[in-house]
Amino acid sequence: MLKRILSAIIACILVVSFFTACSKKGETESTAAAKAETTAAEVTEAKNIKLKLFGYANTNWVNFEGYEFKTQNAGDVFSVIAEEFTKENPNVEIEAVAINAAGGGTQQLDTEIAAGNMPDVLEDNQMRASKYNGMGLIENIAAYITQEEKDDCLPGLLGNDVIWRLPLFVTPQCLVVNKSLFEKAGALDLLPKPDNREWTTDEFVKALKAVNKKNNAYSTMFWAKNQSGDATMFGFLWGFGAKFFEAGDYSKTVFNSPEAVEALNFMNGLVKDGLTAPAPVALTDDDMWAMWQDQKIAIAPGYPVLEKLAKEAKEPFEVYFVNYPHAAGKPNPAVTTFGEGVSVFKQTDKDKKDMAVKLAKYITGEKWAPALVNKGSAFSTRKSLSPKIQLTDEGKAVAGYMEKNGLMDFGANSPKYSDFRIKILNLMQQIYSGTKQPVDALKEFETEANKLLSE
Amino acid sequence: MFNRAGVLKEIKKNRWGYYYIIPGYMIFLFFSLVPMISAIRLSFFKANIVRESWNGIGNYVYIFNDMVFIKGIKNTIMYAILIVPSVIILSLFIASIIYPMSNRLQSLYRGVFYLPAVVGGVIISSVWVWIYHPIHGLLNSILQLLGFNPVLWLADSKIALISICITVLTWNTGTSIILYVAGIGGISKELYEAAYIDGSSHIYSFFKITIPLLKPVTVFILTTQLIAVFQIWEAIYMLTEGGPYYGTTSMVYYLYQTAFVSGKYGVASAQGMILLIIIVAVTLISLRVSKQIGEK
Repeated sequence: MLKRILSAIIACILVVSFFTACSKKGETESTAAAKAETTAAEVTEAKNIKLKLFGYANTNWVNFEGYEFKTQNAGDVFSVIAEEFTKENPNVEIEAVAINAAGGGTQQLDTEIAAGNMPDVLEDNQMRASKYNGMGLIENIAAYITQEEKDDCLPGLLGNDVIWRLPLFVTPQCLVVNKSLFEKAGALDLLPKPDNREWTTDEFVKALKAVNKKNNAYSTMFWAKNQSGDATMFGFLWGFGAKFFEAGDYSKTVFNSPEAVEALNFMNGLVKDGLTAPAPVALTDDDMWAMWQDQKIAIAPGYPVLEKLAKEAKEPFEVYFVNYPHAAGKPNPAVTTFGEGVSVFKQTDKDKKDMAVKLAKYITGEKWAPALVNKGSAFSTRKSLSPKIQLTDEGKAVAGYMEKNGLMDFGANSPKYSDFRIKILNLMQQIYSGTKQPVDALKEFETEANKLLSE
Repeated sequence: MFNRAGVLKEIKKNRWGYYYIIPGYMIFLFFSLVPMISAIRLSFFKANIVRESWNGIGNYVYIFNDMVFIKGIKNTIMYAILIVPSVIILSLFIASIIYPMSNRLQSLYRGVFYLPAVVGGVIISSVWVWIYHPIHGLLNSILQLLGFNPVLWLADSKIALISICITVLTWNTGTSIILYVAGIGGISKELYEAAYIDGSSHIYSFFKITIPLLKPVTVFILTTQLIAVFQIWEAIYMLTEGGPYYGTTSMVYYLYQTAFVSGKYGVASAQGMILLIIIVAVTLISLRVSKQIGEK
């Protein structure tokens, strides 16, 4: 009998403990919620808008002046922005979430949204954010933007009737030369002259050969293990006259062309001839960052921030920015830029929407935009903020040829772009791994990409 | 014939046992069964991160017309063919070397071989990323020191697939070694003594006594390894991200990409259902074959 009673007690404890464990958090949350309600009731007037700010954890956005201790890690800056905004707007509570887009994808935010954790304000790359605009999740905030603000923005970045993002900065893609390695190889004269920074593919190959495998460094490198930094490769394609889309028409790709075949043969030829680091399909942009700072590559397809990294390297070295090469008889390639901006997700509550737009303007405004732009060695998208942007002489040179050659439209505004770039990755992997020749790979790419774009 | 009253009586008789397992079954219900049923439902819907609409068998038609999914199935079968026999042979070989050692040494080696299984696939894979790295990888550095050309361990799809198998073996064999050591310990020593008296060699005894008597352990390892390999994911994610050009993509890795990169949750659920059917079928076949071999 005693055994039976004991067994009953143990069984009850097990069952109850299971349910208690399950409901523990609920109870805690309820208690917390009750406390929060009481507090909220006390300050009914003060705290009534809750916003979720999601932002890309840019690795350069650390150690902001005046906030050094609070911005030690990538993504911390969003908590600081939220805190500062709340000081000016005490009726707002902001939950800041940093997004880690390692690999270049949108996995983390997709999962958050699928789990019902929808952002109210999103700071992210145009290539990724366009996906959510395509899904109809982002507000058109054109009504909130004054003519003065429109005029202040760089042309073509804001839109007119439909404004789904406030641009924060643009980063041009360029070839960044380790000038010290060229000097050691006695090949400085093979680089384009400072007054134009342009060169042909023949001149480019000659320069690569002059520095390749000297001073324990490869001349350059490509990478195609994942999508990260894929836009840094587009300049090579445009230099042969290839392009992904025809003048803003994102309904079908026009990439399958003789120009693209020529460009891909050129790039693959460099790999086969050993003029790049081996095995691009096993490399990512992380490898490029590491090899750049270790002076293991002489020319990096990259961004202006590489200049800063060169200065911070164990053995600092001089850099020189040049445009991507162009084939003989072809114009200089337009400059690829990728931009980050701030978008407001669809809102049902007008007060919340107003506050979300206010927060978006605050992030892209004069308090934070210059600091964020300067930390990333990027370019401002607002004319009025340009005087606050600290461009180096090399940065100014890039701005010069960017103005001369124009900006490349590689489809980043297309709502399908985040999936389209997977097709580009597949194409590059087929070619670099020798699975297919450029002609066949391009045919397959055209079919697959157009199927995607028409879905 | 089904005797309802008898079953109820049996349940009543053993009711305390059922009460004890309620917490475990609750966990299974909420964290396995409900998501599984939800996935079955979702596989008939066109669903992304925010919307879903009825799609009938559309997702199933879609995946069987998707060449990457078919490639994922082929690659997964290849992983199973390469990894499962390797795990069995390697772990049996190591276990037979470890078993005759002293207790202290046996424990040491069991711990050493089991350690990678404790550390986890992601950590082990990230170490192998650097071992295989095309520029500053350990393997290529050794090859070059010995005067050989470097090998593109992760850049050639055929070699990359084998590279992944080697990586998986480093953490998959530990558990099997422990199981085999325990299994060998359970074989009566008298059988070996009788065999030696009859003039049997060590190798002959190994093949005629050890291997046949380890059949239950081997069947268990075969089944669990098949299930594990059909769910291979982390090594691919860390080492190749499915490339080059889907050359190493497995079914589960592609399922992950479909769901979390492309946001096609309905299609991914349909892929999951196919994976479930394949795993159940392969497990049943392996059990049947093992049973037949045993009967012979």
